[in-house]
Amino acid sequence: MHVSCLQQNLSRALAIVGRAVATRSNLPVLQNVKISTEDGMLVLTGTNLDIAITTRIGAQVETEGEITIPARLLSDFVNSLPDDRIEIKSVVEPLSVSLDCQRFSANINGTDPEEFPPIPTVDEGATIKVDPQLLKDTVTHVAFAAATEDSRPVLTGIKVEVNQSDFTFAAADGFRLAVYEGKLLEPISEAMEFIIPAKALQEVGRLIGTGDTAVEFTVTPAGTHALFNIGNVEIVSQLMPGSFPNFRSLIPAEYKNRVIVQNSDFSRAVKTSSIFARDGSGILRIQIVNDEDGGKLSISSRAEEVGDNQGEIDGVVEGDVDEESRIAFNNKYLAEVLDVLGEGEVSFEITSASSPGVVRATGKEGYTHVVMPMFVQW
Amino acid sequence: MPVIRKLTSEISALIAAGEVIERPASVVKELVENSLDAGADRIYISTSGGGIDSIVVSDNGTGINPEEVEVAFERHSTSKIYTQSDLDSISTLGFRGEALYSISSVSEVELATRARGEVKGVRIGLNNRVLISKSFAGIDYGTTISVSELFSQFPARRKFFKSESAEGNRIHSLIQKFAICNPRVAFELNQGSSRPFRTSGSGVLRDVMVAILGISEASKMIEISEDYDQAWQGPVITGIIGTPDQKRSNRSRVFLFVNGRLVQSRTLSFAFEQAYKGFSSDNKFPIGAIKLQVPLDEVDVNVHPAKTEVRFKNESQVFSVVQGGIRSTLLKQSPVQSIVNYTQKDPTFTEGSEPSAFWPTILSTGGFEAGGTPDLGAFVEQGAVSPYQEVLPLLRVLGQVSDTYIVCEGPDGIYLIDQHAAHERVIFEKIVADAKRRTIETQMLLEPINLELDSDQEILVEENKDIFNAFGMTPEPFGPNSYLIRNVPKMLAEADPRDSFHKMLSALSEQVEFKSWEDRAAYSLACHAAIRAGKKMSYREMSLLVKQLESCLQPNNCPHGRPTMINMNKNHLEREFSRI
Repeated sequence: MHVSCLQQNLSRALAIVGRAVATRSNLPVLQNVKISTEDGMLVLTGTNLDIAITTRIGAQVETEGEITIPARLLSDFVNSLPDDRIEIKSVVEPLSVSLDCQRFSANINGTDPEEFPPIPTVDEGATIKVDPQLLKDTVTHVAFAAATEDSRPVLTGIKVEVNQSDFTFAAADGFRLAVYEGKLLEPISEAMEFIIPAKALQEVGRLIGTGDTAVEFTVTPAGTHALFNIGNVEIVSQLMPGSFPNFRSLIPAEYKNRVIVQNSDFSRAVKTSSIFARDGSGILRIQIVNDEDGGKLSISSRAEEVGDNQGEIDGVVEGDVDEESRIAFNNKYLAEVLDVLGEGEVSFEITSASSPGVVRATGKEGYTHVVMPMFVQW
Repeated sequence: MPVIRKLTSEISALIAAGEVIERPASVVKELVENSLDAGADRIYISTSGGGIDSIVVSDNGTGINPEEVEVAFERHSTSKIYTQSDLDSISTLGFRGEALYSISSVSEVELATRARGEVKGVRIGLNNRVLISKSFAGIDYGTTISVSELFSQFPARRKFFKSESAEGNRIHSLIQKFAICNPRVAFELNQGSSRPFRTSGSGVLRDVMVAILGISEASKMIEISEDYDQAWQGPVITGIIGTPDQKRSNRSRVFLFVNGRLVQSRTLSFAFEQAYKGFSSDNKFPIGAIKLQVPLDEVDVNVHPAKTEVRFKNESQVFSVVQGGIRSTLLKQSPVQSIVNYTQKDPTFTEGSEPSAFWPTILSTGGFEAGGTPDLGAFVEQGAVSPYQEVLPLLRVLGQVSDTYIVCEGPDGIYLIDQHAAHERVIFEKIVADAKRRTIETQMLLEPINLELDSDQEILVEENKDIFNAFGMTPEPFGPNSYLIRNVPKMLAEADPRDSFHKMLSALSEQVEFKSWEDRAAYSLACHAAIRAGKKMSYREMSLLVKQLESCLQPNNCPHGRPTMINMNKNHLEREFSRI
């Protein structure tokens, strides 16, 4: 193999595939990046067997070839080089590559590319096209609600359903549920559903960046892997077996009270109350008030032996308000959802202190977030 | 008048009876053993009042010939051995000829029996060994014995009976053991209120385990598969055992049998536990039913009338057969991930490596004996300031050793705090305080969790209803053996709710007496919610923990009675460095 490319391009490509390179593994080749040539491009691949990332950069290919070399070493060396053309040549005995850039050079020992695990490819099946920024938004709004512990492995994944021209992403961790529904760019003929690890989907969101090329994704016929195509980058993720809870039945069909508030007010009040809540058991008490001054949400928390606090924000209240129009939550769950919703109006729906609360954003019709309440002494 | 006199035969008989018959469960044991020796394959047991009011055992065995019915109740009368040489090869469960005699000495007994080939049966009634009725009866083949008024003439013995439910539980677990031992026999135990315990008599051990542990646990268990040479004359092991992940915190799910007899044997249970060494690192106990066939002349069961103790001629051979058989089964069939967890410490090493010249002193526990009853309620109720509060000195955290102990400097030398024990104490006191104020917070689950409980666990849940209610964790019945949980206590929200529930149950099953249910609840939760040994802690976390411990009412012990801290005082340090 003999190729040359720009330091800048190689450095960026290594940063991208580096996300998938295993840091600790008993299979040493997983700490390597595979470099190969294809159609006049330089192809870099990294995998930790959970996900694999492949990216292509423009290069001048003199002779074709492929090799794997330690990813960390290569990327640290390339990052330190001046911004100029790098010559990459492979050496057969001992198996290695030599890199030359201006007056700097290095030899890095490599391993046989045959040892590198094969990356699953998808040649058939429907390709789903989604607007990149919509997908990124979906991932941000859904992925944080997935479980991080492995007590129920299926909950560390995100359920993806695609049907005709709609998609639905859902994540739950046993105490909350986030669902995002959106439109595909092009309708597809067959319905499809799978569970993908939240971590892999978060990588997809990260790789989209500010790009505007449509993201295409597809699933292997056996349903074992999903492949996302984001511009020059391909990411392949293992899919998770198991059955995801029937999340639609967990979304309350109706509510007794709804309050529309400015999220900037709401999240500030929640953060303020969280200061006291964190010394207690992380409990926020929310009471809906509707008196002559208008509708309000009163948010309070207290910590035994420390103190308590209370805050009020204005809102538009729907439904009959009484003493029972109140609910308590773990502050973390409420703070996290308000955090991703950003600026704008949010709607807060409750029925009773012992039924789930729902948070929606007025600007995002497809998004529903269900939080389970806590039972406390009022 | 002479001081030493020979007891009358009446009194010596009663003393002997007391050795065989202690409580309702021992009556059931003797009667079921008789039924099994009679070759029954269907045994029906029903009790009322936990067996204190009455016990009925009915079987379809060989029955007793009409002319022998009365002899059967005489002392030392048995159909099971005839000559002295028979004693060396006992294959029946009973043989001493004392069971019926002892039972009839202390209760009212009615026996109805019809032997095979007889056209009619016999029914006799005895009251404290006096025949009160005898008649012919038209009944099916087999024997039915009803025992009532147990020890009614011996109030001193009756005093030692536990509550009806406790006596009922003993019978329940006894029948479970018989069922494991005799998978070919269909047992049914009916104790009135609770669901009857039933086995199918299919001959498959796993079916019996399903009846005892529930389908989900039983299906995970592994059958012991050892191949023996044709020529092998030594002990043979069979049975079914749990995977290393199915361990429990006590030995209540270990069933050991030798030649079809339930036994207690340190050799066997030690061998069983040793076989799991290295598969998982915790201090828990494996579950399983081990059946050992030992040549009859290699084992002595005639150690005690209750026959639960056995002696082996060749202990080390038995040990190696049991340990080796289980271990090779585990190696062959155990899921791989358990082996990866290999972090077992060698206990002999840690014990031996303690320098003999190092005498850490356990801080005064003020009469709180290690292993004793955790008793905090008393302090809270009196609202008294604990005298120990002053005992705990102000401490400055220096660092952490082995990710397990916090090293602190105090007014007198070095203090080492066990982080797990300390945190356990902190949580324990918080739960007790919360429970007394009724402010335990619970988090509702998105989806209810479905749990399968075995009959013992159902009883435990029933007995500790208060605790589960307070935690909002009350299991709702959802079909046979199946329950739903809708909430978890806040402090367990991070953990797997199913796992938490089982850990609470096993903590509740430990035989520790508590002052109040709040204490028991706190005890069941604290250990589980506390940080583990081996967790790295930041300086802030350690300082906070020490601060919280300082404000505990009883900071020097964890709820189990282990010390939370040891002190190496200045004097010791100076002596160690030969300064004085």
